[in-house]
Amino acid sequence: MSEKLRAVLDFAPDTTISKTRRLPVAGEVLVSEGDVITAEAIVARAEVPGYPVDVNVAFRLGIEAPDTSRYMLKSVGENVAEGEPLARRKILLGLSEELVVSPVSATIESISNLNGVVILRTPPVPVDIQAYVPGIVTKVMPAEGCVVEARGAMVQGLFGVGGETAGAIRIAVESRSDELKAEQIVWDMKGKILVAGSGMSKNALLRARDAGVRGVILGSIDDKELASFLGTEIGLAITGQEQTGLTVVVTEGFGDMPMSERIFALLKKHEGQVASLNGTTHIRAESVRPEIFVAKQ
Amino acid sequence: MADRLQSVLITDCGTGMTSAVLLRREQGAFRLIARAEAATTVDPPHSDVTLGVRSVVEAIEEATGMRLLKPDGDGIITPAAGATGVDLYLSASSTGGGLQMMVAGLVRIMTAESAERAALGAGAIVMDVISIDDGRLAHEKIQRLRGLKPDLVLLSGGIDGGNYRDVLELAEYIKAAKLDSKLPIIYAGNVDAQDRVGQTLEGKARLFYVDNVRPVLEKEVLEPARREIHRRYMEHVVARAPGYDKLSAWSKTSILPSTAAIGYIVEAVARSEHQDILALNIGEATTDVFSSFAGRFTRTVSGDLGVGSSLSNVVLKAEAKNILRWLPFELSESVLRNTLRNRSLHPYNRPEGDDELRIEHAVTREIIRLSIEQHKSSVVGLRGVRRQRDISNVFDQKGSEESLYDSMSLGLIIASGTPFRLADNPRQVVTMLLDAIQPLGVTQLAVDRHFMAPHFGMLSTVDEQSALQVFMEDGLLQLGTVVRPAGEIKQGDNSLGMRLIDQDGKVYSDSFAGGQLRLWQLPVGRFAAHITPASGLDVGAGKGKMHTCSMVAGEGGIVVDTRDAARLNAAVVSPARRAEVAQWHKQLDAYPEAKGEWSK
Repeated sequence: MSEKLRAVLDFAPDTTISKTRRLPVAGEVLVSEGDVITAEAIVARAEVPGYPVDVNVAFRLGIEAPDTSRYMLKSVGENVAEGEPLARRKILLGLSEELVVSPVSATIESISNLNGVVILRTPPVPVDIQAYVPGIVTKVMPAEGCVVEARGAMVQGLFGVGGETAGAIRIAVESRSDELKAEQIVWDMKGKILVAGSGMSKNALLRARDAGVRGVILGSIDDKELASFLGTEIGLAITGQEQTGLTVVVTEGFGDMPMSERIFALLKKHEGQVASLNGTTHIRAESVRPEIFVAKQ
Repeated sequence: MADRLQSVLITDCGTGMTSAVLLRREQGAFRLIARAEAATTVDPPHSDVTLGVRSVVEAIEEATGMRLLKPDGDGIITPAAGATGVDLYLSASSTGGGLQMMVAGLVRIMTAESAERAALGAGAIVMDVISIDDGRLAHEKIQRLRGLKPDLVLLSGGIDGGNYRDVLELAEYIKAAKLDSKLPIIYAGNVDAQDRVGQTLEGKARLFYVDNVRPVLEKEVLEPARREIHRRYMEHVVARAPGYDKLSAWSKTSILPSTAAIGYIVEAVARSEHQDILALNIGEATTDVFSSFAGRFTRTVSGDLGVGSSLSNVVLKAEAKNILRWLPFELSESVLRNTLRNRSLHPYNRPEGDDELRIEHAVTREIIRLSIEQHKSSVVGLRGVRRQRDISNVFDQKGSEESLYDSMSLGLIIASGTPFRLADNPRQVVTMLLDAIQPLGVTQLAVDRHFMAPHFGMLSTVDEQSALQVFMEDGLLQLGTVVRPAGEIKQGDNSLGMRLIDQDGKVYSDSFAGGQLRLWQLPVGRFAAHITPASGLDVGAGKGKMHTCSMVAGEGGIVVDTRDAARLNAAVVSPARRAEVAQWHKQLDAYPEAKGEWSK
């Protein structure tokens, strides 16, 4: 099955690729058209809105919902620190008071006199977008991001987990049909992208992660070993968001299959060079496959 | 308009395949003249759905000698003039993952459920249902709205003249989610709250108003919401897909989601046949179940069960042992999981060889089982209604919360979708349906052999009678009838006797022992049937009572299934079970030349 599955995927020893680097929300683009940049370069920066937190002020103060605004100490748009009073009701002719304090540091987003709920929004989170591949900025989309063009070798995998990463390629096995065993993983592999022949066990994956390996390229993997490594089963094939600490790209499929000869040969040829690796896989509409890109030096 | 139509061309643009059928009226009735299939061309490098449509239309032109495409290739020639053009061109579509919606309502089992039914009936995949009483905190609801990015939101809530404060609260959640301001939100709730909802969501979304889906507790009004969903689907979802702007211009009527079209034809069949029916559509990523019990039509969609990209999810939901129990050969759980994972990574590849085919059929049984389990809980009467009881129904314990699904009253099962279309023979479809659905009494089985339900569903929107007639005659392949007694069946004992009389008066009779699956080979046609079950068993007239009915022997003959339910459903993986499964397959001659690597 593997050859048939592989037939439709990209394998290009020398090609030009374009990567659109887009912010999740509007922000600032830090590069200009024509800039030559590295994979690690930050090309755009933005602040993603924080998450909403609701506080039922009316219920907590024992008041009617339409009266909520009257008891608020802060208004919409104001900042509030964690533990700071949000609303107050004086009781016993002002001798005592009931307070509602903010559970988080946030900004007041809305005050509802319909249900007495105040929605707070936590501070925005800064987000940096890296170039991911080394190349030239060919287009800048103001406030959105940019397009980076790069030349090099491109191989699509069949399946992957974990997001974008980059590191120098290291061939960690003798042949494409060898399994990379846990005991073969050594500490000087830190920061590297390992080429692991036919596959790896859960223990080998864990050891690679603990050794600081950034990514592994495997011919195949056993479904149960992968689930065991992730600590969860992957149902629908939509990946890339896993916080695994190790990006995994599988080139042939699940089971026990050697890496294809041409992929192994190509990676061997580029040993020592920096590869950009992304495990993101979407098999449904708008199919996305994992990828390995090695920029031309 | 319908009477004047002499020829119709209908296309369906599926995720992987685009298909077309050409129908022509001959002696007053529509006949299927030609059909064709080609790859869908929405994705790169083509990125234009009309290229695939052109391919199928050209194939039909070649087969019929007609000219259907305009000279520049940009449209279908209408109306017909001799051998050129057709009177009407229609199209359905399920590309791009179909229509994904979120639904909001006040009470989960009342207005939110009615809104969900409207969305499902319109062919949507309902990603989530948000209600005031769903147990989630406000911020969790808001995060969910933000995270799922639906194509459309259907907001309902409150009966007309009733509570509107809570509806406004739902509107505030939508506002706080800060969704795309172009997102269409269809409001189908309390009419008195329309203005306030409009004020709340002003500038935050595009709001469209339709009649309340639940104007009073005792009544559901789903059609206006369904129609509006279709309009927004056209404008906001279909229009975004490459080439659909052109395709929309080719057809004078709206492009509908394929599942909505299938629902229309199934609903029409249920109305015309006057019996309870069940229809399945198993796709690459999702499975739809449609039913009509006691005149109430229900559609559910299992968005994570299918025979392509969802396969790896099926093994998780069904558990490997439940799939393995349907195989006649030994297979390790590890090989099964890896095989299904690989299939899900390449969803459009079909099974290779007998073993993979049998694995697909085993998985299909579990997809059917799981999706029907889900469906049963939705086949209920209108909830939230206080029932008035009189002396005639005081002992009837079936409340509105109870499922109306009844395996005994089920008269017709229609199977549609990939695993049925690609089965090697009709008996394979029969075994899959029987193992997974286990209908009781007398049930007719039919298969939509060439997946034409969407096409005839589209036709039903302009001419229901013609659509029904051509679907039943040319679209459906009659597999035959299955007889399965309810009750405790004893292995080897006589379980029932049958006497059939054909239209020429010829009599066929036989008796059937318990514990077997038997294909009774009879000439294709209709028979008058007298079925006498053993005492304690029921085939529709009561325990031990003779049941008289009419039945059809189709391509699969008449099948008598006297297997014990507990034995059939046992989640056992053992040599004895494998031998039993092999025996069942042999009894129906379902896999006559199986010679796979694992099944040697």
